[in-house]
Amino acid sequence: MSGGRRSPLAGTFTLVGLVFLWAPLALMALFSLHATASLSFPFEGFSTRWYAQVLDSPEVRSAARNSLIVASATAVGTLVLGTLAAYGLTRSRSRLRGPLTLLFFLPITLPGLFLGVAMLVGFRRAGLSLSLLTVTIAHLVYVFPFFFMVARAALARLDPALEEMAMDLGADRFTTFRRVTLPQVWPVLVGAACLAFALSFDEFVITFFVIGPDSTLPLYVWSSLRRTIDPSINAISTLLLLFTTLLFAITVLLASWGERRRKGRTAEAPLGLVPAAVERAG
Amino acid sequence: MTADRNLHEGDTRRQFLRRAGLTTFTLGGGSVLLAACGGDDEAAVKTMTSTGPAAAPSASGRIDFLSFEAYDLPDPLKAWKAKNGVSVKPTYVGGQDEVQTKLKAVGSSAGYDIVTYNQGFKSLYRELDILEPLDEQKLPNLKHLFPYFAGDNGNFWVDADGTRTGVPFTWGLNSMIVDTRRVTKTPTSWHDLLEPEFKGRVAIVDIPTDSWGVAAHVLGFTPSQVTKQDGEQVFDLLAQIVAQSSGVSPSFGDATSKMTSGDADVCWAGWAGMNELAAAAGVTSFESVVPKEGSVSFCDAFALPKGADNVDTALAWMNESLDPKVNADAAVSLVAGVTVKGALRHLPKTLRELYAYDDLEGLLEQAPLNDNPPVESDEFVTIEEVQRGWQEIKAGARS
Amino acid sequence: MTARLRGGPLVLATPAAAGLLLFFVAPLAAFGVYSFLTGALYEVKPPFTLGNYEDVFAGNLNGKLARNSLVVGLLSATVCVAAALPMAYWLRYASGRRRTVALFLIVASFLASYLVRIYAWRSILGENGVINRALEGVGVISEPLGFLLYNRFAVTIALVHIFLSYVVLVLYAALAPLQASYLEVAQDLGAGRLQRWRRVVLPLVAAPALSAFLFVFVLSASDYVTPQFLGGTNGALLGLEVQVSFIGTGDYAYGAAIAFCMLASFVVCYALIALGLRLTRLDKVRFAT
Repeated sequence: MSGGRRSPLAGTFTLVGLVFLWAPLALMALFSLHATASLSFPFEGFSTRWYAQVLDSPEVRSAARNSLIVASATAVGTLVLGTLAAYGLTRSRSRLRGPLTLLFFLPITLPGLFLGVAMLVGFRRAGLSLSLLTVTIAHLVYVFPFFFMVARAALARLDPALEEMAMDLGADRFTTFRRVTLPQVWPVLVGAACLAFALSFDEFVITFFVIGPDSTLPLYVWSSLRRTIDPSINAISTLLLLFTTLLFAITVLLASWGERRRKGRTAEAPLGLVPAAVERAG
Repeated sequence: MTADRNLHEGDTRRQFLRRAGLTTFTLGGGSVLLAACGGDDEAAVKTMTSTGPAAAPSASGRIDFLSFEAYDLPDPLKAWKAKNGVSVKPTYVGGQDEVQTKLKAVGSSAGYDIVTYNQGFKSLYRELDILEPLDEQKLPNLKHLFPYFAGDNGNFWVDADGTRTGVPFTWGLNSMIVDTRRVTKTPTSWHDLLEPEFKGRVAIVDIPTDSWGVAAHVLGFTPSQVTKQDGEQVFDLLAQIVAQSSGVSPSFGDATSKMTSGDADVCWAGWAGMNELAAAAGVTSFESVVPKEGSVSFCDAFALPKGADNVDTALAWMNESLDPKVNADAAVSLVAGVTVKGALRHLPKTLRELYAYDDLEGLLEQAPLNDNPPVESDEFVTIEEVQRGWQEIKAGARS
Repeated sequence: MTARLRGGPLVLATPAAAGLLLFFVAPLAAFGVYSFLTGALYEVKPPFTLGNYEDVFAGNLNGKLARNSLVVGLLSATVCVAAALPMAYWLRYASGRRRTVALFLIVASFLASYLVRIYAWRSILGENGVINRALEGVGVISEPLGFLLYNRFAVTIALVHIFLSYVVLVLYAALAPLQASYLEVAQDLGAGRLQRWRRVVLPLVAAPALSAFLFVFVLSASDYVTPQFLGGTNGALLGLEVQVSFIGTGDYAYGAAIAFCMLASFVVCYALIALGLRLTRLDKVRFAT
């Protein structure tokens, strides 16, 4: 028996895990179609009225638009800054690594509220007027540790021999990164960027403080929860889930298609990480 | 907090006449309130001012709005906004506190044009100095207000020196909400909630000022003037009530949801609108009960924060919210009371019967509009002490 | 190894570091100063004082909140990491298509809205919820189980639900270099299952697993929204105090003091873990070559 290859126990566990993850979300979608305003059983029948209500509302639409803008900017910004930072950190032997790592983790150690107020005061001092830009900056700070941790985990575990080989063969660091490192890690990075998107999209505590006269979707939902609970929030969330999942799927498909084209052959599922060179070397 | 109808030092002729007008109406008794459509008052207004009749300014452009969702009255004001080309950029809050936090933290560069405040917060906002006075010349619809809301009651909307800072447009009562599906004998006293049959079945909303207000009122105190010693009694009552709950809900909607799903039977310091929320969820068994000790009320008013840049449009907005039809539509969307006389005939039956409009004064004496506890005081329990005590009670850390 | 970046590869981290220093550390430092000033209505004033920090440690409230936060944080982090490990392991060895689908589902579940999830758990754990109805329907119980909701158990489940996908992703990334061949070789060389695990798998996952543990711990301990909805009377956590200070009473100085105490405790935890990893030599991944 091969040591720890396919473990049926792990497989079952994963299945249970997936059910655990998706059961509440399925419920959420179910109640978004509830005929009455109740969010609990008994289930009284189906209706699409909440979707109609939500899609009709200009406040929801503008809040959604704002959230989309901020989350996209945050995801892209985090992807770039975080990948650079993680790559630089994992390829360096400088003693500054420790303190820098701590710096990069620091934002999560503080309650979001505190971050929000502190950054608001900071923006004010800097003379920046509050807008979606300040929200994006605040989100970048908040989301960075999440992305950084994943990126670091992925980049630290690549066999350095490959990169060394490439550079000894004359490639500069940028080309090495592009043609040796990136193909191995891009799936994980893209996944992490999507998480960054989701985190930013969902964020309302910090956002409240640093936003100008605008609203984002979670702010809207949170403040409407104050007075009433009805399936319109389920409708909003289900739509969001569908939309962002679709976006994620498209990103993955596009990237893996690009990958396949470049490799010129049927690639290993891109979510595996077997370095091509090592494979060829046998 | 009843209106003081005596002549004050420094009263202007305008204020005295207004108060005189008020006295005439209430002495006449209940039905006069409904019948009178402000005829006398209008004449009084015309003679009072020397700069011509009041008129709403022209409205245009963008309003930056900071308050609760739905308080920006998207549907009631839709026609008005379309007619005047007004767009709204709202920032929604989850609690009144967030309004002053944002205004203070950002300063006057915030540029919000309209905020709202709950009456209890007026004294704090006066101290924080974050509101601008309102030019009554530009608010002709003030004449439509019920006398109770028109005067300088408790100085919530009009200061002692006559400066107006608020336009009250919605109000409600913190009554006890009972789900008659499981509660067969309607409680007659707030203390009934301490009975063993309600253990773990009481819903409470996490609004310390509301809960404190009701508890203080039940024990016979004025919520903003509870001595430090008496305060212990109030905290004890609150601790007992929280112990009867399965946890404090972050919002009214949440408390309603607990009750409709069968996790709670009654709500302490609830809001009569919860009945409508429950009905929308298919549960029509909620009842709003005012026990024998009475309760407290809340009233929200539009206000102009310092640093507003679209002042005229903001005033026109506030004025429009007092238009009888708009005020009625607002009450429907907020499931609350109207502040304007003519609005009653535009209300559907359930809302018209929600509060005893034919004896508004009497109702608001049974459940008064209160000030919040003071910011600083050596004698009385302060708002900070209320907050701290409330957190301790919620965490079960009260010694 | 020839470094073709002037200043070494670390210079790539400059933009991120600069941004954080400018927009995060600087305002934070300002608030650090505030925590030593006196709080007044939504602002701070002199004089300098240690009173805020004294207040943090005085009284029962903060102690209780801190204990609650600690318990919830530890529980959530433990369950999360323990559950994520087998899943990450399975993902590593699953065949291409299955792995893609599973990974996709796991990451996608993270995209669901935070607030609505909380409500979904209410309708699962509540007395009229899915679990109780199922059990009653099957006849296992006659009365609904009341202990599933409005307590720490519910809060932990909800928090695990929120962070599980993330931890799975981190651990999956960490397990990447784990070749089946390594394990086979180890077995051929006579290593038992436990030894294989200790010498091959553990070094790879130890550091990221502990980082993930710390992450979830910190985030769970500072989360005060979930406990409000699901936590019942054990609901309040320390982060709530910060909210009350900043928003409710406008006492910025006290709020800042609490926040910094929280920060200090987490930094200490981080330092302890880093030290532990270094002492057990698990902090570096070594290659067989």
